[in-house]
Formats: sequence, C-alpha cells, structure tokens
Amino acid sequence: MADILEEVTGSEYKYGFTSDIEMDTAPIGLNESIIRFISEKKNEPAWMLEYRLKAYSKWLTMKEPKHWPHVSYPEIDFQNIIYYAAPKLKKELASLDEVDPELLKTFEKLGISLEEQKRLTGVQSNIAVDAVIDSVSVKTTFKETLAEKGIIFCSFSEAVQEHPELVRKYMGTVVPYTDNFYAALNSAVFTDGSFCYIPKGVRCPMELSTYFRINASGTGQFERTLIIADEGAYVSYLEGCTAPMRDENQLHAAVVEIIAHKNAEVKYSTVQNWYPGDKDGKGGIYNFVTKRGICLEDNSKISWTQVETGSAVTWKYPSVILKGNNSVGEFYSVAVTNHHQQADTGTKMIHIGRNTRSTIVSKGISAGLSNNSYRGLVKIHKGAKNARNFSQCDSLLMGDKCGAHTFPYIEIKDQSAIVEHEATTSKIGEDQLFYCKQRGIDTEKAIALIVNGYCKEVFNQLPMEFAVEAQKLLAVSLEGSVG
Amino acid sequence: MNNVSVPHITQSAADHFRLVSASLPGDSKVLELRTNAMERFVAKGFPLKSDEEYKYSGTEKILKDEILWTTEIAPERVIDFDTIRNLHKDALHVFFVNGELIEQASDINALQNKLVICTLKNAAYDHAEVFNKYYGKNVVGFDDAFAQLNTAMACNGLLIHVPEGLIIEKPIQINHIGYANNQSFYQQHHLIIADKGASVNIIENYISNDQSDAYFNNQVNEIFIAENAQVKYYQLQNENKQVVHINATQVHQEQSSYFDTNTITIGSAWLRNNLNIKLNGLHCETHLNGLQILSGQQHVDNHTLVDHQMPHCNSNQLYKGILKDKGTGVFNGKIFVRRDAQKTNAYQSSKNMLMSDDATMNTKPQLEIYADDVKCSHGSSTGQIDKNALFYLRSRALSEDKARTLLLHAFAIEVIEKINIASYRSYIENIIEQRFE
Repeated sequence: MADILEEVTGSEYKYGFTSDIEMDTAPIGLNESIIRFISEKKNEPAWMLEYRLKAYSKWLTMKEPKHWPHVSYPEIDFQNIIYYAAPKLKKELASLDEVDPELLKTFEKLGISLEEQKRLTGVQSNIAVDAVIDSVSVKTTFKETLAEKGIIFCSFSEAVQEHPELVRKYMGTVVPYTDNFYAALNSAVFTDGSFCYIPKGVRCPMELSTYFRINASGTGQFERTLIIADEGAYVSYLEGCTAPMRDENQLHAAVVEIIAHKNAEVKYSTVQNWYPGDKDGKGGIYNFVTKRGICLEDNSKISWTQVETGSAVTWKYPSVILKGNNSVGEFYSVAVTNHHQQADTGTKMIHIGRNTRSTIVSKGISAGLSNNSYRGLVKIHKGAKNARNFSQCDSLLMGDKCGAHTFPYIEIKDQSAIVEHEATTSKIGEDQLFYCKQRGIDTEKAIALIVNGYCKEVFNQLPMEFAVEAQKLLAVSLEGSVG
Repeated sequence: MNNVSVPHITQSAADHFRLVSASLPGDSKVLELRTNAMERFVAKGFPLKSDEEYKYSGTEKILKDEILWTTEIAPERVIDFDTIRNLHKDALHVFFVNGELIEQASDINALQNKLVICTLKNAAYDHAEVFNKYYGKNVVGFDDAFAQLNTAMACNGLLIHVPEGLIIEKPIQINHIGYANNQSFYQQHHLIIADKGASVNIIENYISNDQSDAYFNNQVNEIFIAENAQVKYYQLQNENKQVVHINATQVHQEQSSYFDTNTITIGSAWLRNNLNIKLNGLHCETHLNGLQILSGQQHVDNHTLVDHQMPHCNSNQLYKGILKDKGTGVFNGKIFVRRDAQKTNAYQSSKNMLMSDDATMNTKPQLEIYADDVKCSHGSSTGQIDKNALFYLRSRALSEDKARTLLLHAFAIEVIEKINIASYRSYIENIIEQRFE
C-alpha cells in the first residue's frame, strides 16, 4: 500500500503548465485608484464605478471570516495581490482566427478546443463556451446561434456595455456587496465573468459553459457570474477551472448569482480543479467563493451540482433562497481532498415560500493529510408552510491522517416543516474490497469502483460530458490513496 | 440600574472575585487554578451571539441588569422537605437551598458509612488531598466562560467520593431548591469520584417554589470515573420560568468505565446544558439522553461533546424536544474522534416536534473525525405530529386532545425509558404525564 501512496503523492497536477501570453496588469495592491483603474480599463459607466467604490468602503470595515470555518491558512496580504491582469488584446476580434495562437494553444492543452467547437456547430451535444483567462473573458463561442433564440450569453464586461439595464436590475440582488468579506472584495475589484439571460419561455438548446483559468503570477482572480432565467426558461450551465502550478498561494474570490423567475429552472454544475498545491502543501489556490441563487417566483427550481477536487483551501457554500411558492432547491456535491488540502464546503437552503422543497446530497472523501468539512444550513422561516428538506452527508476517510467533519445547522421556525438530516462517516468496507479482489479486480481498481459507486448519486446529476470528466478527475485525485 | 452592558457584568464578577478569593476553599495550588480560571473568564467574557458555541444562546438577552454575587436564604421562608422526599421514596436525599447544604434535612449521615459525602468547604479541610487533586481538573481544558467563572468562584457543592469496589445501590438524590433574590447568582461545584470498580447513582432535582424570583444558577459537575467504575447521573430541571440555569457536566472516563446520563428539562426561562465527556481509556461506554418540553418563552440549549481519545469506545446520544408556544430549543452535539481512537462507534440522534408556529428549533449535530476505522453517524429530524397516526387514533374514537397527548407521550417515552433506575423512572413518568395534561 505504501508504494501506491508514494505513487500518488508523486502524481502531478496535469493542468500545471503556464502559458506565455502577453499580459496587461494593474499595479500591485488595492486602493481606490486601483478600482478606478479597473473601471476605466473596462470603460464602465459611472453607476458601476460607484457600486465598486461603495463595496470597497464596506470591505474596509469588514473582517476576514476566520473564526468559524474549519480551515487554517496564513494571513493573506491583500496589498500584495495584482487585482487586474488581462491578456493583451490588440483589437476587437471578429473571428476565432484572430485570437492569439498562444491562447488557443492554452485552451487546447486544457482539452477545450475553441476551434473544434466552432467546427462542430450544429451538433446537438455542443457546448457554448465563455473562456475567462486571468479575470478577462477572451472568447465566447456560439454567441450568434444563441442570439437567434434571444439568449444573451457573453462576458460580464460586455453585458455592462450592451445590456446595462439587465445588469443594473439584477446585479447584487442575490449577493449584495454587504454579504461577506469576500463578496465585498469581489464587488469592488471584479474584472470579468459571464453573463447569461434566457428570455421568457426559452429552453436553452445547448449547455452553456464558462472556463476559468488563472495564468499570471501574483494575481488574484475575481470574476462574477450572473444568470437570469426569465419566466418558464431553462438553462444548464457548466463551470470549469484550472490554474498553473506555482509555489505561491493565489486568491480566487468569485461571486455567482442566479435568478429564477416563475416556472424557470437553472442547473449549475461545477467541476472545480484549481491547483491544489504540491504534496507538501506548498502553493495552491485559495478558493473563497460566494454562490447563491434565488427562486424568486413560484414553481422555479435551482440545482447546484459540484465536484470539488482542487484548491488548497476551499470555502464555498452554494445556496438557494426558496422565495417563490412550490420552488425547489437542490445541492449535490462531491468534495475530494488529498495531501494538505482543506475544504469547508456545503450549502444553504433558505425556505421562505410555501410548499418549498430542498434536497442536499453531499459526499466527502478525504485522503492524505487533508481535512474535509461539510457545513450546511437549512433554515425554515416562519410562514414557510409545508417546507420539506432532506439532507444526506456522507464522509469517506482514506488513511488515518486525514479528517472528515460534518457541521450542519438546522433552524426551524414553522411547525409544518419536515426536516431530516443524516450523516455517516466510515472508511471503505474491508468486505467490499475483499469481494472485488476475490473477483480478480486489483485494489486500485476496486477502490475506484467503490468510490465511483459512492459518488454515483451526484455524478448522475452532471451533464454527460462533465460526468465523464468528473469520474476521471476523481480517479486521478485518489489514485491509490487507500493505505 | 437598568441596561448595563455584558462587559460591565464580566468586570463586576472579576471585582467580586478579588474580594472573596482568599476565603475560597482549597490550598495555594487550587487558588492558583481559580485565579487562572478567572483570568480566562475575564479574557473571554460572557459569551455573546457572535461566539460560535453560543450562536443561538447569546447572553445579551439574559444579562441586562446588575448581578448580586452573594445570596442569602430569607429566614422567614419555610421549606417542606418531606413533600419532596415523599415524591421519590426510594432514594437518599440531600437538600440544598440557594446552593447551601441543609444538613439537618439531609441523609448525609446515613450515607457517610464508607462513602465520603460532604460539602466542598469541609472537603477542603477533611479530605484535602482528594479535593486538591481533583478540583477544577476537568474544567481546565474546557474553554467555556460560565464553567471558568464557576471554577474560579464556587465554594458550595458536594464532594462524593466512592472508594474502590463500593457499590451504592440506593440513588442519591440531590435536591436544589431556589429561593434566591432577584438577580442573585449562585454557583455550585460538585466533585463526583468513582474509584476502581465503584458504582453510584446520582439524581439532581432542581426546583424553585417561589414564582416571582429570577435568579441565576451556574453549576459545574466534575465526574471522574476510574477503571471498571459506573456512574449514572440523572437531572430533572424543573425550576420556575424566571430562572436562568447554566449546567456544565465534565466527565472523565477511564478504561472499561460506564457513564449514563439523562437530562429532563421542563423548567427555567433560559437554560444551557454543557456535557463534555472525555473517553480516556479503552472500551468505555457512554450514554447521553435528554428530553426537553418547552412552553411559553422558554429557551433551552443542550450542548454535548463526546471526545473519543482512545480506541474501542462506544457512545450514544438521543435528544428529543417538544416545543410549544414560543419555546426555543437548541441541540448542538459533537462527536469528536481523535487520530488514535480507531474502532470507535458513535451515534447521535436529535428528534424534535414543533407544536406551534412561534416555536423554533435549532440543531447543529456535528461530526469531527480524524480516525478512519470508525462508525460514526448522526441523524436529526424536526417535524410535527404525524397526521396519519392522529387520524388512526381519531378513528378509534379518541378525542383530538387525547390522541395528541398519547402521541406526544409515545414520543417522549423513548428518552424516559432509558432511565436505568426504576423508581426514578416512574417518578419522571408521572411528572411528564402531568405536563401533557
């Protein structure tokens, strides 16, 4: 077993390359003039700058949330981060041919060929991609095809320019800049991200996807995603992320807001694979993300699915506010930690409307010296009649040097609510392993098989393309980590 | 006098400590421990909402006025000890009024035979060695402001020392009668020590007859259970609905020992139970059970921590709550399994029933696990009376009220059944039944 462990700890993060792209960066540090600089760079209207400055002054009064999450990391020096880094774009790009070839190469290496995407236009299972590199959206594919249906899918900066009324109406309504330390920081310095609007009654014909990549050194990535599903609309949204291997710790503080109107449904899937640091815990991304959706009107549904395998420290609680009557919130999560990784992740389900339902399925896997915590809140407001919640949180421990923790918070203020929570912690059963080995499956494969079965409930929720990727990712993350 | 701040009260406690510290029981080492505890208390202050451990039970609500740090028994009040005695005849009774032992009413002499039972003040002289060895030792590593405050200032309470191999069959019932003045704050500190192979059953019964007095009762119980020893420790918390009660039970278990506790809470305005069980030997067994039935504006917070430090231990928790009117219940339980505590079996369950739209239940069942070969799980559910069950009983011609009472009774009985002293169990059953009527 020790050999296998050795092998895994030696296995490398395969997205750890750096790309030599000409960058345009802001001076290091954070102050009002940096925010003005970012705003000016992006040619933003005055209201946007005002919003940023308000967020900044609020942020100055806030404290980093360090006392409650079950993670520890050295003090972050917020003055030692570059808050704006963008690939230098010489002019507006008319077609893909004009994109910096180095950039295209980067995405090809990541397995996301923007060109191939282009060629395959028309095939059913296509995905429209918005590629964000170091906080700036470089290319959005399939824009025209989507536009025919009235779907707006573009970078956040583009949306600020072209659809200011939508951005102004919805931005900050789900995650206000006062929400928490990192949301405030993001609101002040965010550089780009994706924007998506699905008009009334439209079912988005393809998966929409954003690919995030941190490339430059010493930078932080602060992107913002805003998804609005108007009455009766449906969209499935994917998010993927990777970063180069560096010895420094880089900060990623994103905000995602989802608004679902009457009868609308939004499905948001994430495969988070930021660089987790090396086997000694050196380097890696600090991933402090605020993700929240609101079921604004009746019969709406928001579903979060996440596969978390990356980042040195993760602090992330995708939430749903169930405001509309009969609205549904779902959270499916697989969180894997290995080596020195720390994850404190979970969800919040806030029941406000009548007959609201929520489901939480969380599967944590810890290996190596890592710590993996589930932290979730289920809150039933007074008057949220017949609210229903079911939570299942399972943890799997691999090896005796890691930790698995469950911290659920359940707050109920209505007598008609039915709320159930279950959690278990265990290791892979000797009998299961024995059974597999007896049938000629080696330990390595047996573990992969068992873990895959353990996570199946969550993987089933992922769109097909992602499910395959997630399974592979899981196998790589855990290779031989059973001792 | 109105609306003083919480830090102000923290300061007034420190001031009072300076006045009395020299006269508190214990040798110089104990005094040092008390002084350290006071320092930790002052550094931490009374816990506020922002304190994660007191998230649902910030003391802002209860600490609004000046506190009286000394209590006196009003002599004109006559207490009918016999009535209390007669409610549970199969026990030996000890009576405390406002934290002071009433020796003439208590069965201390009947108990004195081989067992050591005496007040903390006497213990510091007559059993100095035991007292100095154990006092405060189970509180030192426990970062709770109330427990630190108690450890610093407590001079009342009992030392119960069961020597090796002694088995005390009859339960010892400690009755606490609150007659204190408004805003008075009294603190008791019990030391319960069961040596190797010893066994003892202890019941704490909290009552207060006077409906008008609002006092604070901050108690710490340190329980040391040696190899193969057994302690059953039950509490009935039934003070009037003005009282603020904070109760910390700190248990230290050695190899193959057994601990069983059951906390029934029906009284008090604001109540917090802290149960901290340290399993410091192989093959320990521990059972924590609790039932809370709340009405009016009652606030009750049950906090448990089972610290599995050694392999092959079992722990089991069952907490149930019935919340009526504007009652607020909190359950915060943690199973903590350390690196070396392989082969741990730990289970925790919290089940609650909300009977009104103004009632609130907050639960936070937690698992913090660092060993891999363990079986740990928890479950928590909150809901209302099952409509099908209600319908079934109604179809059998039971009135709605009767049917509800029956179902609530069935819900509560699961906890009461776990009481391992038959006479006490039927005593509790009677009380709970009255409560449902």
